[in-house]
Amino acid sequence: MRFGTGPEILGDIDLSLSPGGFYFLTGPSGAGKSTLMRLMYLADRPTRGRASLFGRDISTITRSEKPGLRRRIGVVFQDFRLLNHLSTVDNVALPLRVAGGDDGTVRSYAAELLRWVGLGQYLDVRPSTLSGGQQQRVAIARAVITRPALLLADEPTGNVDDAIAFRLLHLFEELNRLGTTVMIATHNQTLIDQFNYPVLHLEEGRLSQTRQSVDQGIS
Amino acid sequence: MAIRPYDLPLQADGSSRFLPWFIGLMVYLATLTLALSLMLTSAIQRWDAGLQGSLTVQIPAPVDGSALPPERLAAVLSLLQRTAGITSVAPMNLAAEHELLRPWLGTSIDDTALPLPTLVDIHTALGSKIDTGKLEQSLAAVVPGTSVATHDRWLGSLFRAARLIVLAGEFAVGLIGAGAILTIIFTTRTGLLIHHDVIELLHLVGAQDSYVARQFQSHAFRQASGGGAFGMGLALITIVFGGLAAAFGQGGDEAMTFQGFGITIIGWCALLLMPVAAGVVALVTARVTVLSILGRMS
Repeated sequence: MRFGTGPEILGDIDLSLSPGGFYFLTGPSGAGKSTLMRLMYLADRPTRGRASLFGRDISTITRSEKPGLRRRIGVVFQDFRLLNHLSTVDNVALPLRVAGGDDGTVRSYAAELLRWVGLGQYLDVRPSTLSGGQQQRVAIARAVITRPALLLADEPTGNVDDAIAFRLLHLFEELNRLGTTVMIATHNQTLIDQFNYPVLHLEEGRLSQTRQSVDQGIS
Repeated sequence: MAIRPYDLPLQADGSSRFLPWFIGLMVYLATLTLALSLMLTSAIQRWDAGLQGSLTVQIPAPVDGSALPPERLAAVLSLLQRTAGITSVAPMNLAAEHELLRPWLGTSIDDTALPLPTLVDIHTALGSKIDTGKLEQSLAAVVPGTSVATHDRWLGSLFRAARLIVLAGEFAVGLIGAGAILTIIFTTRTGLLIHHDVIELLHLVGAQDSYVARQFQSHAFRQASGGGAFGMGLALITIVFGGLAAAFGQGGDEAMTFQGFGITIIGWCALLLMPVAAGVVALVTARVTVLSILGRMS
């Protein structure tokens, strides 16, 4: 994977995530974690090699096929990407709204989820008035509202204290138990140590395994 | 039920403040132009209907300035009444002719001293084709110098000029529409650039291009129909006040009624629908623009 004529950011990665798995993705800054995530949530196409998602080759899928696949993926962005002209509840409701959900139902479901992540009193405020940690929880609520088949979270606990971080990880575990495949990119070694899941280590665009085996191996 | 919010903050764009005013101006000009075209078309039809099947025979006054001998007039009238296709023959009296000339000559000139020709109004049957050349020859044999005026000569030129003005008006409305479409394309493209990040996010959470297009098209519709309603209202006020001013200027009150404008009910409906038309044009333009630009992306 490379952008334009720049250097190759990811290369020779052979990775297969088993459905229903839970993975940590680690590595130093600039190792390509976010790029790998962007490939997985279909923001970019691989410049060489083959990548498939839910059995579809993402190099060849058409534009009109993408929304259907993306609705099965929940993403927590490192910079949250919340819409500041919408209330928190409308931000969380966004994935269901674009899928054509009824506004009333979607909003009540989003409100319920916000209460679950401890933001019940901030339903109608703008995200810009929230703290970094609160914004992160809004972003997580938005990512999980569709009960996605694949959840990709880029540093989802970077701005919250340990208590909230553990609570959020338990939310991800709960989703995982319901069948969602989870991949969390993080630098938080304490978190990785507390949860016994496979760890994928990315360094200089190459992937290695540091704990437990991933179903079909990493080479 | 909750109101669906705009996922794209299009209302905050600079173009959102300018577009309704621009569309309002376009609709104002288009409504005025269309109204004038409708009035002119109606006037043409009225003149045409009023003068169709009408001829005027002109019998010259004797060179010595005396009145036309009654037997000569009777001979002309007799010939006209015998001509196939002519349904009525009515000589105009001299007093009426002087009355017609009064606005041109004023009251300071004694026009009774002028050797005026005798005019005869003729009406022909619908669809009859009278050979005016032959009729003129026959009449000239009875009273030398007698001529037949068909109105066609001067009316034809007038109609051509009026129709040209109507065509020019329609062309101007077309140009105004094209200008509005180009403006909407420009503001939509600008909106796509400004909100690139939000649009990418919408796509990443599963939005189809048509969902993004709906955001732009409903915004464009509201902006254009709102601005259009303002422009149309202003244009109608201008038309009504223009009509009233014209009526007062002529000392009559014909223009104070809807019929006085010469615009039919369908014409008025077309004028009142201008804001909706502007909204629909904006909606379709925004949708096509968004879908074509997003469709070119990978």
